[in-house]
Amino acid sequence: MTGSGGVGSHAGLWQRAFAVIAVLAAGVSAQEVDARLDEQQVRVGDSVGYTVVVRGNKETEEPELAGFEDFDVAFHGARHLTSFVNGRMSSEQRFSYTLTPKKGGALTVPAVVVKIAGKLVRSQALLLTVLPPDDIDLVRAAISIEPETVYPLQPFVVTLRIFIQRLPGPMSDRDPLRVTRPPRLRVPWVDPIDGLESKSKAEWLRPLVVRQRGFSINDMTTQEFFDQRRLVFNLDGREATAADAAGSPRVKERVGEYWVYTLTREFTPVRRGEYSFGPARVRGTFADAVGKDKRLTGRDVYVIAPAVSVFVKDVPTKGRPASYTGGIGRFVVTADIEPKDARVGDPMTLTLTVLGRGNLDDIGPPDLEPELGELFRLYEATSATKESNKRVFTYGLRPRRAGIEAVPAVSFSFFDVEQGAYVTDTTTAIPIAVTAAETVSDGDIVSGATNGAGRSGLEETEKGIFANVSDAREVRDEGVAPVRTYAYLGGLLVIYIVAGAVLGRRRRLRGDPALVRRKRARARAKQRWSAARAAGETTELRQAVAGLVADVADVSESGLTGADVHAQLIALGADADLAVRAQSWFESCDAARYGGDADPDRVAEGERLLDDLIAALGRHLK
Amino acid sequence: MSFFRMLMLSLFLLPACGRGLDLDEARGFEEAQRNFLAAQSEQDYLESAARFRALSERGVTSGALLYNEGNCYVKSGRWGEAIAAYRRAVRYRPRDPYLRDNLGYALTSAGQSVTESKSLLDHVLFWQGWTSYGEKFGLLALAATLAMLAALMSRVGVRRIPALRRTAWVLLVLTLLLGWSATLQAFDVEMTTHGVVTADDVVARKGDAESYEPAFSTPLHAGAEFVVLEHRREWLHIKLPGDLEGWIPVSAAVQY
Repeated sequence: MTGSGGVGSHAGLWQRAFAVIAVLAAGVSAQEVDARLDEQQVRVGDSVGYTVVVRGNKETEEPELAGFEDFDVAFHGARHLTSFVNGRMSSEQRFSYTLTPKKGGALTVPAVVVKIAGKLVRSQALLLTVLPPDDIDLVRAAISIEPETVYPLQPFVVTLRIFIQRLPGPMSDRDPLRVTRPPRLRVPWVDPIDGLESKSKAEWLRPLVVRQRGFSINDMTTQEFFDQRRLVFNLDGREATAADAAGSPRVKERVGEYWVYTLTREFTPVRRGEYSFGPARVRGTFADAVGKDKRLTGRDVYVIAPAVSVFVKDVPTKGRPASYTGGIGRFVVTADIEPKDARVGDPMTLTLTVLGRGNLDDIGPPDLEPELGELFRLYEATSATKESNKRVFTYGLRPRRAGIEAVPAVSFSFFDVEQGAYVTDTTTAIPIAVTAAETVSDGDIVSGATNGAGRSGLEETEKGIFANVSDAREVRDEGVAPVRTYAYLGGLLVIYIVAGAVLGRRRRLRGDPALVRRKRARARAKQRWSAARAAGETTELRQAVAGLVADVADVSESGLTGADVHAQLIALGADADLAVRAQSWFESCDAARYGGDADPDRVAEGERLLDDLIAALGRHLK
Repeated sequence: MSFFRMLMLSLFLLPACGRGLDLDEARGFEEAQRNFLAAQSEQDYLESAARFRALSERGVTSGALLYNEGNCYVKSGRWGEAIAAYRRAVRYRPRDPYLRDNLGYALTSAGQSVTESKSLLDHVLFWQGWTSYGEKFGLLALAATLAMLAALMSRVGVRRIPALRRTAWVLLVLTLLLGWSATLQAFDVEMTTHGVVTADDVVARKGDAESYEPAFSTPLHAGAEFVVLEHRREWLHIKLPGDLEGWIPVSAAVQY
């Protein structure tokens, strides 16, 4: 009996040891990194939540997502969760992503690799099934663009048509949306598109908002009291015609069976290129039959309207006038010159103003050399767009000879998208008077070589200087105080050092569970004491004080006896008398617990003891 | 605009922006300009120059004022003073083509060369001649602020912005380059005294008295530019391009 009992106790010991090793092994490897998908099955174009959970106290870097070519990945941030169970702390980090499959079928979400304390740990790979859209006659959708090829600044209209079959049975003349919750549309061209101008989202969609019977678009919501309500848009449902079904052959065959709903938006391109619209997605439950109880039955449908492109082409090269400098739109041009009386060689300023609607910022300065070059020496023009409808070109010029009586008319060509042709506008000639210059001395002969890179020799002689700055608004105090900037840089450095120290300390605290436990010990003990005192529980009072000592000493508080507390306090450097006091209070609590001894001073003594312990262990709690 | 954005904008603009003219100064400016337009003699132009300079001496450091002052000197035939005014104006209006043109005009009128050789440093700090004195310090403050923010965010562990640590390093290198560039110009503006000869046939001597021998075989002409090495009583110890040194009377030059 004794022998068998001995063998039995040895076997139990081994079993427990194996169990501990197995749990430890599981905790260290397979359980450290876990990957989860919110759903195992999605439709093409849908997204699915993906979370990587890293367990353990060690700080980890963001997981490495390699091999995710089949998905568009969006990272939403990381959360650090810490929990205490029976005095033991466990923590985990959760990295959240959204995966949007790029294709259909059964896809593998690859394993992710996380670096933990220098070691690479891998999660498990997952399977995701991506279902294709429905190809059924109940609901169809199509996108069309009119016209499909345009010039810049020529408007075009994008139309999304949703065809829904008539309701079955006696309700066939009713609007199909009448019996269904608003289907959900996903329309990619709701948000601004670079290179295209249109009404703002609010201007476009606000007139379409209704309380019921319509579609929701891109899950847009509105705040109603304390609730978010999904917005419903009226897409003007009516019976479909052959013209509506022009781009949908399957609908065209049986156009009488459908209702059509249209969403249109006008765009004006400001840049050349190809712009794609779509795909658009329709999802909802639609009535498709009448059941035995003569009630309509619904079917979940998910259909896609394929993407369509519009091509914004360049203006034609054929027939392009020499004075064309990139203007597209409709403009008029005017000119002015100052001063109007000058001597040969004096600087003059010619201002050419292009006024109208179009791509003002893209218009380059007209080349005036053919028209003015014979009479004036021209300098490079400066350009500026003003008041959103005006482009101003300023030319510096100097008369070449006396007797010039007018600045000749100047031509400016642009492409008029409405006419689809080039148009040339001309300024009127400006009367001026140019007289002969004074005799030019040797000292007045200058090169002006500073304006041109690479000029090596002397150039044509020029006399005089360019005009003063005459606008007082252009005169600002541009004085610099370098010391102020250096002081600012010094301040930045100090801020960086202080912030770096604070961050380093915060990181150190997070990485040391024992330290975290010590830092929280005082507040935790006080809180537990208050709760226990309110409940009148001697055992809880005892545990509040035991918890304080256990937290500071970083030991488990369960099973902590009076003698253990005494030993821990001595080890922590507390006064021997205090340790003895604590031991005797613990023993009195134990006696009360097992023997029912009611000592009215126990609570008061315990409170004093807790305060004294906090004071004595103060240096460990900071 | 959030408080954070306003703070950042203010921090950036603080070292770079300047105040406009007050009412008195604006009136003074208009008067100087009217005086300039009505001027008919050398003396009239010098009076206009004095009016523009008076505004500068009231504490308005402006490229436009210096440019106008330079124009007044050109009109009065004072090439040395004109070059000095234009050189100072270029610090604040480096991209003004008219200023460059007028400076070239003054230099050639004074018989000086307008070509400027570029050193290796000018190629490394290629923006040196393209950005103004204030812009250099503004850009430095901006780059340093962004570098610090990027470094702090990478330390905090912001993961939404990719390659944050690398960005912080790039910004730090940029800050150092801009700091170098700004400091070079600050040294040139604040610590170095430049000068231009204003009189003709100025004999530079080997010491600070007429009794010393001439330092060069030919006298200096108005418009010759130099750096002041030492100021001793009524004499300036100057260094000309080509590391040529000599002493000239203070009254024969303008310093800036």
